[in-house]
Amino acid sequence: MSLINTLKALIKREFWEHRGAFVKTPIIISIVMLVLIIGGYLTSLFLVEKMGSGEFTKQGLQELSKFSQDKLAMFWSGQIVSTSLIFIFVLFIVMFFYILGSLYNDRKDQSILFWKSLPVSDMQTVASKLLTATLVVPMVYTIVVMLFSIAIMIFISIVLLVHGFSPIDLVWSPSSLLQGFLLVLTGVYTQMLWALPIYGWLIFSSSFSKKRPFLFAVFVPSGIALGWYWVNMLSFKFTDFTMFKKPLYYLGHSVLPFASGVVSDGEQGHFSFDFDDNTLPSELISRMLSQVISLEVLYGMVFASIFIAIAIWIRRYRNTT
Amino acid sequence: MTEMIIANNLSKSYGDFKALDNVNLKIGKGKIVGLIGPNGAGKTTLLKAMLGLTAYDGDLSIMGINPFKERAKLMEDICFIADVAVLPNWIKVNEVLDFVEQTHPKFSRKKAESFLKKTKLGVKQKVKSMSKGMIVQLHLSLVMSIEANILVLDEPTLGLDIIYRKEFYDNLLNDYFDHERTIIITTHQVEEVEHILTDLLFIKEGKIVLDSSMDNLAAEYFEVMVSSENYEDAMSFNPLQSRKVFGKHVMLFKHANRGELEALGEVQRPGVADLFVAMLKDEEVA
Repeated sequence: MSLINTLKALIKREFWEHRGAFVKTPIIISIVMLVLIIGGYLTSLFLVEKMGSGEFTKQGLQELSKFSQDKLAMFWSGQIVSTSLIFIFVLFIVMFFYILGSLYNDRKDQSILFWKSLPVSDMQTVASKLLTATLVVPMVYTIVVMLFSIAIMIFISIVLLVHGFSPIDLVWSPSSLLQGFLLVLTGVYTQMLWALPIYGWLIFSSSFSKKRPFLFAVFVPSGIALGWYWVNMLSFKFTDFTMFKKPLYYLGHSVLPFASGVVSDGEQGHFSFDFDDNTLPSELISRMLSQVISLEVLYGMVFASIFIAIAIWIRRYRNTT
Repeated sequence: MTEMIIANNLSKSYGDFKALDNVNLKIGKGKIVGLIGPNGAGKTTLLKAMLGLTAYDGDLSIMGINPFKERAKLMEDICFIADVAVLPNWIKVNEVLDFVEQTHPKFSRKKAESFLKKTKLGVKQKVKSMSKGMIVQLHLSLVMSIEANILVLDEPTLGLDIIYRKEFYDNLLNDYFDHERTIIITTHQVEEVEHILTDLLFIKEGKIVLDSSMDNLAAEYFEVMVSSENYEDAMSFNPLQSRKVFGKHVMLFKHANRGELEALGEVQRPGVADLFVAMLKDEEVA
């Protein structure tokens, strides 16, 4: 058995176990949003006719048709940006709980010894879970975002046709699916790079915790930060929030990879994430890439590697019942 | 004979507690070994050491492989079931077949499918929807389709009802065991396995107190059913143990004069459970 085949089987295994979170969740979210949008349109159509006030939808579309191509391009990229914000946020939440359970669930249901009875090393097992979380599932979410965007564009094209406008001029020519795809792709993978230290901590918690990995993963770092704050308070440093800010900084980037993430470590400890949905996708992509090439991300990787290594060690030598 | 498992001065301590205390043993090819001992005697620790799941002092070699250092490689040649009724709830029959096929080089899917054909299990059925007995059938079909040299069973039938327990051991003997393989079984239900064992290992407080083939055991130990009038005579041969059954005394002897005792009552082969209890008492006296 080659290593690649084993890894493939292991990743497939993750999809069997987590089909709901990896595939069904984004598809259901897409369907719900589509239903809301189409339902909204039909309702307005119905109301417009009932109240006889006339050409509401048509007027809106007329406004749209007066847009310049640049403005239309902005409109469509804005649509992809806002859709992907939702999906990227959901992706982070899903990965959070997936990784937290990854080395814990099979201990809880006692199937761990079945998995360990197969000629698969513990390092391969842990690697497959991390590859699933960092590479495979973000790609799945990207594809679903693109399919959703295409569905929206098709729907609006139909509406435009019904009202006698040209979908080519207003939708398909100004919008750029390739740019949208690159934007979402950059979004999910920069999110992953920022989230690596969090993922490392979670997989460690997952292998280390005997009963409640969630409580361990959340309260241990909170406790450390509070303790640190308390020690500082004793020396009258009431406004030193460094220990809270660092994790929140990574968390912020993981939840909102599109944001500029301005942090100035001044005396006041100003901390903010700026996001402006008028920014062009190309600017967003270059901003995300320039932010991710940083010492902070490198530190995050080092932190993640240490805790992943400990997690493998625990899985190998301690998780044996 | 080819030795499959060799342990030299194998020890394992948890703090002050010695789970394994200088264990020496050799297990050959084609043996079915019963590893019997009271709770906390070190059975599971010994099995865990053999499976590379725990560190130990001393030497242990499984087919020339150091189990602790090369666990993943070892798993190609050794198959183990901790609890035959535990498989992940969410997995489907065809998924578990796919997975084992893709990760285990010695697994034959054809064989597994032919075993499964004899059951009522559907390919798309989830473990969650199966009864305990069905899970056992699935697990066994998987294990019996792996061309492993050593099979380790740690309390495999725990929590199963008697029908499935019997079926499990029957299948094991008829469909799996071919005298080329080695099987190690631990269980509390000794009576159910003793007829299939070729060798016996008693373990107590981390030490091997008996290591014998079943044939030798039958030659060394025997029971005599003695009626009350011969009781005193029989007692003079120093039985290891005496218990009363239906007004008769059943006495267990070791290395005693079989010919003379045959005159006092019917001689029979002792049950492993009785032997075990007697041996443990014997140890305490000595």
